[in-house]
Amino acid sequence: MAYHTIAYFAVFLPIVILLYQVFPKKIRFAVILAADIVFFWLFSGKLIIYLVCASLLTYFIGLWLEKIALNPGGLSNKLITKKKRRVLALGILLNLAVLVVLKYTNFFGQTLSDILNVFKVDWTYKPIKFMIPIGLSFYTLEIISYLTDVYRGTQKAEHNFAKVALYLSFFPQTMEGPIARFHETADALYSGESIKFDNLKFGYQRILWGLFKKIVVADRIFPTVKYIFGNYANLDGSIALFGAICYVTQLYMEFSGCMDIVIGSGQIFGITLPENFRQPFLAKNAGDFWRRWHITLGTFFKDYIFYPVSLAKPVKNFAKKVKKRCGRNVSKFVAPTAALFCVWLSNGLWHGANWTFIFYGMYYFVLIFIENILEEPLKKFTEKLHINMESVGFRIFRAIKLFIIVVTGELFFNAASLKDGFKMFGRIFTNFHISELISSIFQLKMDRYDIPIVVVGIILVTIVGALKEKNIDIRRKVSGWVIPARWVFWYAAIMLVIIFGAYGSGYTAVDLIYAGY
Amino acid sequence: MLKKILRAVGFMAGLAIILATTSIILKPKSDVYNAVGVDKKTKDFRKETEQSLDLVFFGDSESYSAFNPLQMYSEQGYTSYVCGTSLQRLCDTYVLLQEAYKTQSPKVVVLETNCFFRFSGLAEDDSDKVMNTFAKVIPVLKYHDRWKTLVPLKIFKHIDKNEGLLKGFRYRTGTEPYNGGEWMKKTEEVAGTGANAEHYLKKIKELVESNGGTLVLVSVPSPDNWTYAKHNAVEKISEEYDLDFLDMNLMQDELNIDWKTETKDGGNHLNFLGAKKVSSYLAKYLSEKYNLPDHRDDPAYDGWKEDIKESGMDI
Amino acid sequence: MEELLEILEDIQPGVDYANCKTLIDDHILDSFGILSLVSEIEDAFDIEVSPAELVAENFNSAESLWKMICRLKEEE
Repeated sequence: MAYHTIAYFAVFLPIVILLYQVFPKKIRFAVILAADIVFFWLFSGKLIIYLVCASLLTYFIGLWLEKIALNPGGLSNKLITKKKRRVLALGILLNLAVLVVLKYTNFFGQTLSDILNVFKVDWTYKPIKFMIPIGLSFYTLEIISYLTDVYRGTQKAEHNFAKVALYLSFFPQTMEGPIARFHETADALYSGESIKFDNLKFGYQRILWGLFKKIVVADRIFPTVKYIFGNYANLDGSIALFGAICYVTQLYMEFSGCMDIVIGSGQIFGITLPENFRQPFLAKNAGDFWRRWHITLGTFFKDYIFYPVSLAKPVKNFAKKVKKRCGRNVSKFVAPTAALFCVWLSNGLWHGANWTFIFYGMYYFVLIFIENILEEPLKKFTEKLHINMESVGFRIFRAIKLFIIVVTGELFFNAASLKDGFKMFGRIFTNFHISELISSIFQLKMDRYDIPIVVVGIILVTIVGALKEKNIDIRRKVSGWVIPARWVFWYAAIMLVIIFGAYGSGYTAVDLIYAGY
Repeated sequence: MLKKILRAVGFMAGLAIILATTSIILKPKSDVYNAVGVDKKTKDFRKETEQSLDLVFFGDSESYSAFNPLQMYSEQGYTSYVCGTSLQRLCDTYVLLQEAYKTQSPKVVVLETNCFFRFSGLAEDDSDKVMNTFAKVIPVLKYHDRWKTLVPLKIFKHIDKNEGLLKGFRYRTGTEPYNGGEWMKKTEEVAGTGANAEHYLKKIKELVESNGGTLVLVSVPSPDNWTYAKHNAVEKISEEYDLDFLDMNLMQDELNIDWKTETKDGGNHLNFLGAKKVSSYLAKYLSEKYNLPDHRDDPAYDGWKEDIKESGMDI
Repeated sequence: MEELLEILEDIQPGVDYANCKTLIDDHILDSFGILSLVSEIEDAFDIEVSPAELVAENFNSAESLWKMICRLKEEE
């Protein structure tokens, strides 16, 4: 029962809304919690035990940290910090251990056996089939953020277990996030405020917009992506490039569309979930792109890896040494670069145990590193040549450059293996005949009817995004219209999704991509 | 608050009317499973010259992966067309057959028997049960994709090669070997046919015979789909309804299909190489048994020669 | 406070630091800017900034930054 299925938004969600509203305020949180359990159970069944244990562990470690901080034994500040640090490490390591064992054992085993084979040691790794609970990668990060915040003292340890459980298991976030912070959702989830009519309306409107992106656009492109990535070896380079562009489009439409459904669902219950996308393709550069794409993952890495690593004593001391030797202009890059490396290695690994993802992480590490080093010289350079960085021409150039960067990254991201990625990438340069793409455009699993729909869908999403960048919200605009016009608008929107959606007979159901990470 | 609720009810009522209207527009006239496939096939089929076909094939993907009318023409001289659609149910076959008789009077109608073992009737797709339940009340959810056949789209037509060049046959290139060995182990067991299948088969037989034709049952070799129990089931039906039945799964010596290289997907469908052998054998068999005409020297059928050339089938 | 404004101006010129209250929220300071800022004020005011201090509330305006610096100085 993924979020884009009729079972979710037309059956499950309305039932939860109804029950929530019927029950008295005090026990409404229990309705949400019950819905969380049912939702999780439908995907992972008994594996819910992982989530239950993780919630209990998080709850008790939080309390333990608080107890140490209250300092009943009258210890020195230094000793308290040391003790707290050990407890935090215990909490994080226990949770990470589950993630690492379930997701990475096979990868490490395979890599080890590959290395041994190079040294002519005859040992083959037999992969173990692990059952992975849904959303493991997402709730593990939420646990880390909560425990670290309690350790840092920016978040009070929660004494009510229900709130911790609600925070970690809110059903709209289960499959694909967003990765929220404790203070963003827990209290609101527990409070059981009545559902407001406007929230219900706006929530469902946002869900409809998400369905449009996912069902009309992303799912229509999916067969093409699957076909081209599976058969690139026999296809022209122009088609391989087309496939990579299609994948970027599919991924954005699907992930951001799903987030619209998720955030809309939260809004119905008065929960403001953090946004995960902010017009990423309008970014200035690769670094800026990642402040606009999967935002909650980026801020998680920023707060819990980038800053701590940059400010860690060994890194700082090393930077000081460099400063003495090479001066400030070099030393100022030391700490951020070390931290950046850790962030992107984690980002790659988080997506899964595959060399393609590690490559993807390192790709962005190198790009953003270069961007940082070149920022100042480039500024001086453009000033000397009197290039206006805000002119339309320059912005178009910048957008195209970014798009090439993103498409290249996602090509490797979606390749079956690193070898496939390089082969497919190579084909674009060694075997490129645009005429091949034009003559076979309708043999790539999208017919003469599908392609216009996709193009119109992309244009619509682009317009809405461009307006949003200028702080114009179409939904709000529409709600100001007179009723007949407003109704016609929403009828048209609903029918657009129903008629032009790529679902039902003739289409294969497409699983959510990020639910696999 | 009351005003708001009334307004919401009004909005929903309007939506219900729109859904009902679009459902009426998009719902096909008779029960079909793969409505879009049937629409598209009907459209393509109508492009054939009227009263020019001697034989028409029906069936699911097995049929259009195996029967190559252009090859059969160049080898035996009779004209045929594959009205196979993906996941065809016998109710789809019946609708397509009615359509076929509007423009053609084939002497022989060949039905591939894999579709006997599917439920015949409206969609019972088990992939999304909730959606199916909704679709029963709101048919537009099931038939929404038919907008593609209702909206005439002229643009880019010249580069769309998909439409009807190979007389319904699909040229499938992939290769994935089948390693399972013999799949037709003799048994007394009789497989059960899909619900409603016999009901529709009876209607199909009556329609063919009332148009003066002969209905023939053929089973294409497919280790993935076929078993001896299914053979027994069709054998029984063919005796009961007095129909000819040719099971090519039992003719491996005659066909000599190399299952390492001549299947597209590990024994489910044949690829072009496998289709060549099946078509060649079947063309000769049908031509001799039903005394089908040879049009190779008739200038009225020169279009077929051009199609063969254009499609590259002559190589 | 004067010194802080100078440091800010040095890291990223052309912003009205005395009045701007949304340095983080409007993405004027990115994470790299924050890090250079931290290393500068650590040296200038002889304090140590922990990761827990790197939140929007402390970095959104020169005023809140100054408050944080004073607080950390006291804790030393």
